[in-house]
Amino acid sequence: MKFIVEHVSKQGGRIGKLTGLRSQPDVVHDTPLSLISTVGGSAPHLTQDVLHLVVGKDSPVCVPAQHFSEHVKVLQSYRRGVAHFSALQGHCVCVTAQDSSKVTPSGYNDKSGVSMWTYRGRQSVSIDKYMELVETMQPDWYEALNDADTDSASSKKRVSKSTAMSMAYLKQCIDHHKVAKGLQGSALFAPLLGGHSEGDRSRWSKSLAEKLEDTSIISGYALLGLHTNGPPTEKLEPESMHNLIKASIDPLPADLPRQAAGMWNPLTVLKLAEHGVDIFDSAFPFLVTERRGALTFPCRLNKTLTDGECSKNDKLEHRNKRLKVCEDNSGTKMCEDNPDTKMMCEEKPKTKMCEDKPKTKMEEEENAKKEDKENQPIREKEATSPYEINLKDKSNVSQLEPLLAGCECYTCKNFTRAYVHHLANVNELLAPVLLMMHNLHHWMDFFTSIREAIKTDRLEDLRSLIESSVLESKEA
Amino acid sequence: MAAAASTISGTSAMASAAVSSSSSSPALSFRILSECSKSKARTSLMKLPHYTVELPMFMPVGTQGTMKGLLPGQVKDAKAQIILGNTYHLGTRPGKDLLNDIGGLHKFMQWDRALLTDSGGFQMGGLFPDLRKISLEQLIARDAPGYAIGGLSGGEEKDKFWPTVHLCTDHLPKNKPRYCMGVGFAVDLVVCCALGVDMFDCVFPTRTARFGCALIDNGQINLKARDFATDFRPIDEKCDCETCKNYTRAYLHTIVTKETVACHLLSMHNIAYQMRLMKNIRESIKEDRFVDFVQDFMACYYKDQSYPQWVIDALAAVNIILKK
Repeated sequence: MKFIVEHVSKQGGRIGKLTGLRSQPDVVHDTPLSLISTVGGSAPHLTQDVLHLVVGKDSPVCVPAQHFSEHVKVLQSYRRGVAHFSALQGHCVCVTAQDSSKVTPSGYNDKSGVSMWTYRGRQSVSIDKYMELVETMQPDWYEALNDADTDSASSKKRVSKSTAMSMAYLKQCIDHHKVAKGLQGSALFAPLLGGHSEGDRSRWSKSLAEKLEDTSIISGYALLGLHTNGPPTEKLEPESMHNLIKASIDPLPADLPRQAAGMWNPLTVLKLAEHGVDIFDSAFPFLVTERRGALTFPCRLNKTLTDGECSKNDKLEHRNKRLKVCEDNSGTKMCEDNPDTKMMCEEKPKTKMCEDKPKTKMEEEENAKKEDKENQPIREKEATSPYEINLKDKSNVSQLEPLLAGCECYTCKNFTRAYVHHLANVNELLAPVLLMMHNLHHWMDFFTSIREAIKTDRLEDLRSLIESSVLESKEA
Repeated sequence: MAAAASTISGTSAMASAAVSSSSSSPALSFRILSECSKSKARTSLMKLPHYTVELPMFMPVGTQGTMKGLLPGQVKDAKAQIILGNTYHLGTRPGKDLLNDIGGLHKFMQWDRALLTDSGGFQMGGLFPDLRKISLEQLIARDAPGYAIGGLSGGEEKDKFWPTVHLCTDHLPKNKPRYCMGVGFAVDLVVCCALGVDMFDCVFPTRTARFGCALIDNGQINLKARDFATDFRPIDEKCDCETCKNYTRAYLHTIVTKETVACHLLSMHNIAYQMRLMKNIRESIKEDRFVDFVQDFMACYYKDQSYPQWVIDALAAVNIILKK
C-alpha cells in the first residue's frame, strides 16, 4: 500500500492518494473516502449489478472478519479471497475485525480470544484463528486483532485490559504477518485504543512507536475503542469527541493513513476528517436505510439550494407541500429566502427559523449543545435524525417529488416519495433496496464534497452548512 | 390498459367455435403463429398497449406494485415481458386516486412492459365438470378478449386439475388467449401448454426464492443444504441470468435466508428460469418438435422415468405418449 498526503488544509483535514494495493496496484483512490460496508460479503440489500449502478466497480469495500469466521475452510478451498467469493472481484478489500454496524456485546473478551458474533452465536477468536481467517480473505489491508471493547462508560480496569491484550495481539499479528505467504502485499493497520481517556489514548499512540521493534510493518491506523459499534455511535457528538480524537492522532506520523469505522453522524465525520482521518465506512447510511430513512442533509458546498429547490420556491401552489417538508426534517433551507413561506412558517409556533436573525457562531454552538441535551422527542416514536426524512411518515403518501430534489441517484431519477412510501408502508423488499441506493449515493456525494472542501480550505464552511440545517430540522 | 380477463367456471358442450386463428379488441389483439401437430399447444403473439407478448408466457407476480425486491431493469433482464399486479391490494394501498394522480401503475412502479391486473379471490364451479360447462358457455357468449381459468390453484389433486383445464381449453375459442391462474411448477406449465393454455401466473418462483430454493431443470435445489457449502458452480451452468453469471452456490449458501440479497439473487434466477422454460416451449412449438421437447423435459425431470400417473394421463389426452 502506498499513501501520499497531497494537501493539508489550514482549516483541518488532508487530501491523500491511496494506491499500490495488493489487488489493484495501479488504481488510485482519493481520500478522505468512505468504504462500502458489507454484510455477509454483500452491500446490504444490493446485488452486485445494483451496487454498480451506485458506485464504481473498483471502489473499496469493507468486510468484517466477523462475517466470515465460520467460513475459513470454504475460503481456503476457494483460494481466491473474499472479494471474489462475494462476487465483488475488482473491488479492493479492507478487513476489519468487527462489523461496525452491529453492537458488539460487551464483556466477552478473555484470554482465549476476542468474541465475535455470527448467525449461530458467539465465537471466541484467538490470534491464530484470526490470522488464518484473514489470510484466506486476501485483504488489501486489515486491522490487527484487537480488544476494542470500550466506550464512554468503561472502567479504568476495562480500558487497561483492552490495551494490554491488544498490544499482545498486535505483536503476534506482526510476527505472523512477516512470515505469512498468503499476506504478501496486504497492509497491516494498528489499532488506536484507550477508551474515553485522553491520557490512555495518547499513551497508546506513543507506545506504538516505542514498544514495537519494527514499526515499518505498520501501514496505517484504525481508530477504535470510542464505541462498541452499532446504532449508539450515531449519538456521539463532535465536540465530545474532539479531544479524544486529537489525543489518538496527534502523536502519529503524518504519512500513514488513518481509518475510523462506525455509524458516525455526518457532523462527527467532519470532526474526524478535520483531525486527519482519511478512511471511513458507510455504516451510517445503512442505519438510515434500516429505519426507512432517506438522507437529505445538504452536502454540496457551492449551492445552499439544489436546482430543484430553487424552482420550487417560485411556485406558490407548492407552499403547502413545502410546509410538509419542513415538518419532515428534510434539512432543506427554504423559509429564510422567501417572504411567502416565511409568513406560513410564522403561523406555526414551533418553527422559529424565520424570526431569528443570523446568530453568532458562539450562540449557534450554545443552542446546539442545548438541543443535544434536551433530547428532542421523536414524532410517532420513529427513530430518525435531522439528516434524513422518514419514508414511513404518512405525509409522503402523495408526494410526487423524488426523495431529494436534484439528487442524481437511480431512485430519485426514477421514483417518487409516494412510491417509496408505499413500499415502506406495505413492507416490500424493494423499499430498502431503493433507499440503500439513494443513501449510499448521497454518502458518496458527501465525501466528494469533503474532499472538495479540504482542497479549497473550506471544511469549516461545509461544517457550518450542515450544522445550520441540522439546527433548523431540530427546531421544526 | 390491463388485459381484461373473465373467469370460467363451467361450460356446456359448445357448438363448433370459429376457426379463425386471431382476434382483436381495443386493448388486446391475438394471433396464433404455430400449432403443435399432435397436442393442443400453440404459440402466438398478444399485442397489448405497452408491449407485444409472446405466448405461452409465464407472468411473475408483483402484487403490491413491485417485483419483490427487484428493480424493473432486473425483471427485464430476466426476460419478463408481462407481470401481474393486484387491483384489490393496490386499490387499498396506495389507492386509486393516487395512482391516477401519478399517471397509472406503469409509471408508479416504472415498468414499461405489460401489466395484467386481477383482483384475486376467484371462487367457482370448481372441479365439477357440469358446472364448468355451464359457466363456460355463458362466458364465451360474452365475447371477452381472453379467458382466465380460475379456481384451480388451491392445491387440489392433480388428477382432477388437468381434466378441468382440458375441458376448458376444448370449449374456449381457439382464437383468444387462455390464462390459467396460479400455475407455476415447471411440470404443470409444460402439461398445461400441451393442453392449450397460453398464460400463467404464480407466486411460486419468487416465494420459493425467499426460502432459499433455486429452480433448475430437474426440480429445485435448496441452497441451505450443507452439500452446497463448497460447491463453486453457479446455480445452473446453462443459465445466463446475472446471478448465475456472478455468484456461486457456495456463496449463496452462506447468505441464504439470512440476507435480503439472497432473496433478490434467487428471485432473479427463478424468474429467468421460468422465462427460459417458456421460451424453449415456444421455440419447440414453432419448429413442430414440441412433443420431443415434452419427452426430453419429463425424462430429465423424473429420474428413472418415474412419471406421475396424472402427467401420463394428461399428455395422453392430447396425443403425447410418454415413453417408458
